Amino acid sequence: MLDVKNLVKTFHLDGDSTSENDRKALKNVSLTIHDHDFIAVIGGNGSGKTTLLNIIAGSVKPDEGSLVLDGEDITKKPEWKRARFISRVFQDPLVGSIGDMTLEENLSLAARRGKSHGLRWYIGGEERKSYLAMLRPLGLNLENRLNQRMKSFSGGERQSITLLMASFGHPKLMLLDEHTAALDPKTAAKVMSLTATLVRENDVPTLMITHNMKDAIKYGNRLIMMKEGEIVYEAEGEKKAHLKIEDLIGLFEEVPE
Amino acid sequence: MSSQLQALLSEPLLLGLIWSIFALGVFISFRILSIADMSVEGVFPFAAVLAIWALKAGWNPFLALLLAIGAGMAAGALNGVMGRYLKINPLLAGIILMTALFSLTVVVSNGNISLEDGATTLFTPFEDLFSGISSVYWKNFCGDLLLLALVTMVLFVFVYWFFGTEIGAAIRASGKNEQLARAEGLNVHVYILLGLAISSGLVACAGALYGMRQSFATINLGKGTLIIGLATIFLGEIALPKMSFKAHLLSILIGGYLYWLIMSALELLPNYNANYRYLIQALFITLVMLVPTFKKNVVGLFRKGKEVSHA
Amino acid sequence: MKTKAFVLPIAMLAIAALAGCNSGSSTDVKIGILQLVSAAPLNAVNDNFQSTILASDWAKTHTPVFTVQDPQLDEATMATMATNLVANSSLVLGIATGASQALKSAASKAGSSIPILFSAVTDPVGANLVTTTTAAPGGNVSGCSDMGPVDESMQLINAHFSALKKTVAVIYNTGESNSVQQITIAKASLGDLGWSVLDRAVASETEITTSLNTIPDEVKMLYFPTDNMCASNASAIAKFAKERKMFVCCGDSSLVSADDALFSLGVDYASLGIQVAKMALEVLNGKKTVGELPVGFATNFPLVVNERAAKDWGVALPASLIAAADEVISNEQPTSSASV
Repeated sequence: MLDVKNLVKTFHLDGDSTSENDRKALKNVSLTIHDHDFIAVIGGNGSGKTTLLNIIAGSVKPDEGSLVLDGEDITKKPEWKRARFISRVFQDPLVGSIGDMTLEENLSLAARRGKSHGLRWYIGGEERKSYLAMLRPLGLNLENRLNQRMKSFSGGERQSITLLMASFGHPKLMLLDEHTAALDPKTAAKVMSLTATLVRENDVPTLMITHNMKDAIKYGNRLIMMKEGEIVYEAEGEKKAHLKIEDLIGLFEEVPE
Repeated sequence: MSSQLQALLSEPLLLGLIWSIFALGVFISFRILSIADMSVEGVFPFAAVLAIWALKAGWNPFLALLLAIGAGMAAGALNGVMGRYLKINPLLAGIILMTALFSLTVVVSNGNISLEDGATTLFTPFEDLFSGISSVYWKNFCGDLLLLALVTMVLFVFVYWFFGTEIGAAIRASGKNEQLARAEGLNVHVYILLGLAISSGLVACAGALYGMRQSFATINLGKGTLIIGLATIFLGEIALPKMSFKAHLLSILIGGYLYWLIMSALELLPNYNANYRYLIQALFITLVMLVPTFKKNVVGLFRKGKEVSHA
Repeated sequence: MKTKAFVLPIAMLAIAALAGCNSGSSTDVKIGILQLVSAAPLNAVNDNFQSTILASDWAKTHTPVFTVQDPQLDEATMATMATNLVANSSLVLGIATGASQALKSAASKAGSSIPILFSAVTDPVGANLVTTTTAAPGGNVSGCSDMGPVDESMQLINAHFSALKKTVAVIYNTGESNSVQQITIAKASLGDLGWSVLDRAVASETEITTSLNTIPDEVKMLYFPTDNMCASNASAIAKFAKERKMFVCCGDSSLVSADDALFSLGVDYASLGIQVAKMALEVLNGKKTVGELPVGFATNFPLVVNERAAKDWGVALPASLIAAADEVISNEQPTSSASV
């Protein structure tokens, strides 16, 4: 369970000093992510949703506020240390895996997320078998391509693999940063369906930023809307299930500045 | 066989091996870590000079080699600290380190350091193994070849094995995609530092071997060597387009030999003017780098031609 | 792919082999010259070496074919050039320490006993080219050292310039062991004579002007030894001295003749070239092997003074110095009271 308390973040566009060009990305954001939560986050550009995700992941430091994960304060923890508990899928399929390394090398990297790296060979026979078992159900015929470099895979395939990698090791939280935004609608739908399957099977709390309002309504048990650095609307369970897109668009316009 | 042809065929083989070790170091920083590391031009001469200094001070030749490698690794680690922790631009960090090492090289060598006649180097016991051969030239050649082949083999096998371990894979990931590496729990700073240490250690090994074989070293030794390393890598990549990491490493060895074969042959041409060497080298490297693009376009043309004619 | 890449070098090999096989007549004697870098004193050695050999009696019955290689300080190239020269010549000349060492190393690796002569090397024993300079060195290496009269030069300064503030600024390349050695001698001499030394050593050419600029105005004497970097940048040093109205003493008289310094009690590199050519001729004539020739030292140190440059710079050379000169360069024909 992640307790996000009173996050404030201002981006100083003119160096470190305060000026009119400062952008208040997060004004005062608090949020609790419970076990079994699958939260969809929507909002326009500049709403702060990406900053929120980056702060949770650790690639951006907040000016004020704290993050408490299962009772442990992780606000000061560097990104790479948090990765043990928090996994991530990026928007750009090319970033989510290493193009010059093979599929099995990427999987083996993810399998060791948060563990110590030693002089053992990067992949063993048993391990390979487990990867085959994991890849088969995806139905993408990836299990025959373990030795191919990632750059020979399509964008959709790479995102699916990144998603799979993010589900390794029972993370306490999975962050999805508009992970279907760069894909064509058909592939995006496939990846979303894979997402739902993985979240359900691994029972991992998930925070998903999306531009796609249909997906935001269809997937997840909670919905959060952000605008100009604040959470302006929340819906959960039944209420969320009955939302219509028109409602959301209306909310976008209705909420005062 | 004329001594001219003799020298042309055999010397590039030995030089190719030494410079392949150098190129292996450059390969790690340039291809694996994606860093253009200029410090090699300071590490190489410093290692050569340090090894000779140690030999003159009575050190065992193998220990002298280890000393030089150790110094190289320290330099690589320092490079990592400057680039990652002190947030100095990596290219600048390399140049700063190169300049600093230049001073150290002058201090240790006073500009020129040399071994007495008949001094024992790492090559001596190997050359002595072949004392049955009457021709001094072939005795030396076989001995040097044996040592260099052994060292090269050990180092290349080490690098192949190391980058297949978990730590090695972590270094490769950190070099290729820092953002993902961090997201996969890797302390990128430490891994890049380790990668640079190994890279500079290899360059230093090449420097020490070079200095010991030549029996003297001056402060000018590093000048223009990064380009030699890069040319070796590119040449190898053309000769053996990489299919796997193993093949990529092998291609460095091939590139090393090819580079020195070509440069030696060039020098034998009548009217060769050394002043044009750098120009020739620059043209050469540019051509070498254009080959992949050229191949793509020309092959594409042929394919199109075929389709049309069968229409 | 593998085969394609080999086509190019094999073609070049073939061309080179053909080129190499195209040897001339049987009286051809190939002489290889490896000159470390292009600089006036080293060029003087090269030119005079070749001209002396061409003008000799030996050349009447033999045809010397000179191959000059100049790696411009690039050591990696220098090594391959040395290997090639050693493989292709009957005798080789190294000009400057690094080049000579490269030739020796290449010959030793190849097991070749080719006669190697060095020149423009200040300390051949320190450079491990020979084991002794007091007797015939044996082996296949000998030559001429350009160790100049540094101590006498300092005495000269003391004798004629005592009216000046007793400080000498020195500039040299810390990376040239020959220079470091000479400056050590100079500092010791000056110390004994009661003069102080302002050390303005540099590690690279780009620092020369900045380093010189830190010399205080009251210091009017500048000295630099036989240093390759200073020789290559002599006109920049001269320009500075002219602006400051300083006296410049150097170790190489060809620079004085070129108006880049005012006086020099030093090695005449042209003579050095002739001296080492004579050693080469003894070997070529079969009179002696190279190991039987003791290392030669320049003995002729003409005091060359350039009045013309002094006038141009606006400084007045002491009359006593001019009187003691062996050669005075003035606006009229340079007069010489001693033959070189």
